[in-house]
Amino acid sequence: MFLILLAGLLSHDAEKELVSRSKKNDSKAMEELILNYQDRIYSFILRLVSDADDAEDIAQDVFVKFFNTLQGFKGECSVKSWLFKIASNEVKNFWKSRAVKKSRKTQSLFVQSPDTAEEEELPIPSQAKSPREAATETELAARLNSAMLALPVEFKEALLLRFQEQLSYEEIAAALEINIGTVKSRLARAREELKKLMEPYL
Amino acid sequence: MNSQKCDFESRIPDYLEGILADKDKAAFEAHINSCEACRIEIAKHNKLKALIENIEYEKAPESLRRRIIIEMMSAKKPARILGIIPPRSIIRFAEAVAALLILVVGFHIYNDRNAAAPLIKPARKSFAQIKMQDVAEQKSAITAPAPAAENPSQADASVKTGAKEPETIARLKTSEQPQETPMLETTLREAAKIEKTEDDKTLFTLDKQAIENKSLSADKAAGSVVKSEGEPLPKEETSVKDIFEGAAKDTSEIPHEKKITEQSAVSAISEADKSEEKARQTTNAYFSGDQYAQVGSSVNSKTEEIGHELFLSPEAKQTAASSSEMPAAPENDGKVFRRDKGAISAQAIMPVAPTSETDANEAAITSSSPSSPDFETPLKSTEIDAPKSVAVFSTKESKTATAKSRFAKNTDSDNFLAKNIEDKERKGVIEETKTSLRTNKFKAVDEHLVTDERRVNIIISLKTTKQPLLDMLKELSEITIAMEREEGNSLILGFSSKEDLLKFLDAAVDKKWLSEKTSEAIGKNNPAIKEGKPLSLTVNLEKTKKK
Repeated sequence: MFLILLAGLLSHDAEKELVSRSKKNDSKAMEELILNYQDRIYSFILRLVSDADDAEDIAQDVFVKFFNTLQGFKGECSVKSWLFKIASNEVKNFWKSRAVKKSRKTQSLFVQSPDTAEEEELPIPSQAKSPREAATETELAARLNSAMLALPVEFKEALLLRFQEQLSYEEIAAALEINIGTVKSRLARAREELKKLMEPYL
Repeated sequence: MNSQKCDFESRIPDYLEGILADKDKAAFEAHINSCEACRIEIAKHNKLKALIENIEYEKAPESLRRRIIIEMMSAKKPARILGIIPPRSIIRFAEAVAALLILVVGFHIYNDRNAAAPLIKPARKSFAQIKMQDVAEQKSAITAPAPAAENPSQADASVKTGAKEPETIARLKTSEQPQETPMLETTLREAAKIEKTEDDKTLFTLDKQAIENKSLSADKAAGSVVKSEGEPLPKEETSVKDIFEGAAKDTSEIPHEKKITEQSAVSAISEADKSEEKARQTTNAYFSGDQYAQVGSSVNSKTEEIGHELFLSPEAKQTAASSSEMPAAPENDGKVFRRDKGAISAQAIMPVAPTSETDANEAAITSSSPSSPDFETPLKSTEIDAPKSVAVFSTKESKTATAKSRFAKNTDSDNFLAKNIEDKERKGVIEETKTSLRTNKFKAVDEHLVTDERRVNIIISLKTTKQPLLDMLKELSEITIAMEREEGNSLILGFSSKEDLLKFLDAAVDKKWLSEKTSEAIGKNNPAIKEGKPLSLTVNLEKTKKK
């Protein structure tokens, strides 16, 4: 617990120190890095794949890949953005493989076209409850989760990286390997889509 | 709440993300100040943003960290242990080395099994020859005068190399000849080789003084070679005893059954002395000047008495060898040659003594060496006598000298063979010799070539076929039997000792393939068989009936 709390407060220098030790195969340092980022990465992945087991497997792959490529990590970006970049790629690979195995009409970034997305039946909050009744904090969070699940992956990851992880446009662009303009427009579209989904509760 | 839609409402996300152009941004900012609906929409967006920012992280499973650590450790462990070299490379290298080792070991095992597996072990070949060469090289430069020998017979066995004819090399070789290379073939091969390589000026001389001192008898036993190349011979003496001692020392590493001891050599000298005298009396051979003759282990003759320089032929070598109990010199040894200045007389003896005491209907014993397949001269025991006859040809048992041949100068030796062979009993064997000589284009020959005292060849007939015999040989695993070759319905077997032969005969008697009486006659009571003398057994078998 202490480690987790401490990890959350890791300064840039402390993180650099951990990375340096991890490059020397210091298992303690590696463990600290894992503790510091495992929840973030896992949550990010879970929201993108919507399955806990898949999220755990992908998260494991993300960290393993991170440590395996750590020797090439020069520190141009933060560990967090590096990790999310790996996570984003792993999720994409996951969906690619899943798309090959099983055609998924919903929620897939690679299968869903803008036209079909509009035609899809999104999980609209039940009209039985008034917005006022549902507008409690917990309810809003639950609704948000449901709305987020309905968003395309590219919108979700952009929103999460931007608002939850507080990454800059540059960091998001680096993580998603897109340019900043695309990040901004993607965020705008994501906002717009989410607001539509959350409109009854706002 | 204003439910009215504003046209600028769709620009709110772009405005919030800062992607509106400056002109559009200024217009939008001017609009929202006056549009309540747009302000409400912007508030909703901010609320959504706050909601997303407040989303709690899902707690990662406890197993995730453990799984990551385990995965990392298992992936990095080989690299940590092995350090710089990539583990896969090491593994591949180790695999390659292991495969190579398996191949090498397998090859050796295969070879070893092939060498050991045969039912009948082949006779050793290279040992004696190699040893002989070593001894010869060591003794080739012996020139010092010999000290007086302790044994009278040894004292006679001193070699004096000073004579009219030049001598350059004196060799001593002491080893028993290889079983699989009979003397006959060896001699012929050597002579043929010499005929090809040596020019007419290269002559080999037997020292006259050495003949007088009967040193060649010892020389035969020791296998010395006197070679001359047309230069004056230095008058030097070499003690044969010393030679023997040196040879015995040199051969100390030879297995017991392969050794030639000094004692046997000395006894051979005395035997040679006796046979030498007989040889002078019985056989004269004449050789052309172009023909080089090869002499075996010893030849004793006095050329000065005859008035000719003597060419000693391979036949004479065989003859001399047959007159001694000492195993003859190996193939490269025991060569004595002389320049021909006219008629050459070589005296040798071919003692042949049929033993009427033995069972004449069961087996035949000869002292001749089995012919080599190379010479296409299979043993023709039937030509000596009927297949079930017994004839013993042994030096010590011989009663009379039976062969005498005379060769005219520059004439075809084949014709002389036919004309001069007086020993009718050995006619068949001599015919074999003629065949072999034709094959090898070697002309200088007499009938004594067919004799070889180095081993005793026993010919028996067994009332069985080949397969049962082979089965029996399998059972006799405790004895060493060399199957030299197979000729028709005959198997030629080699025995290293009399004991092995007796065991073989006993086994044959047990199987009722041979009578006990015959077995004793050709084995236990056979005087021709002596300890240390190689034995060969030609087994005539019954024909296998075809089904």
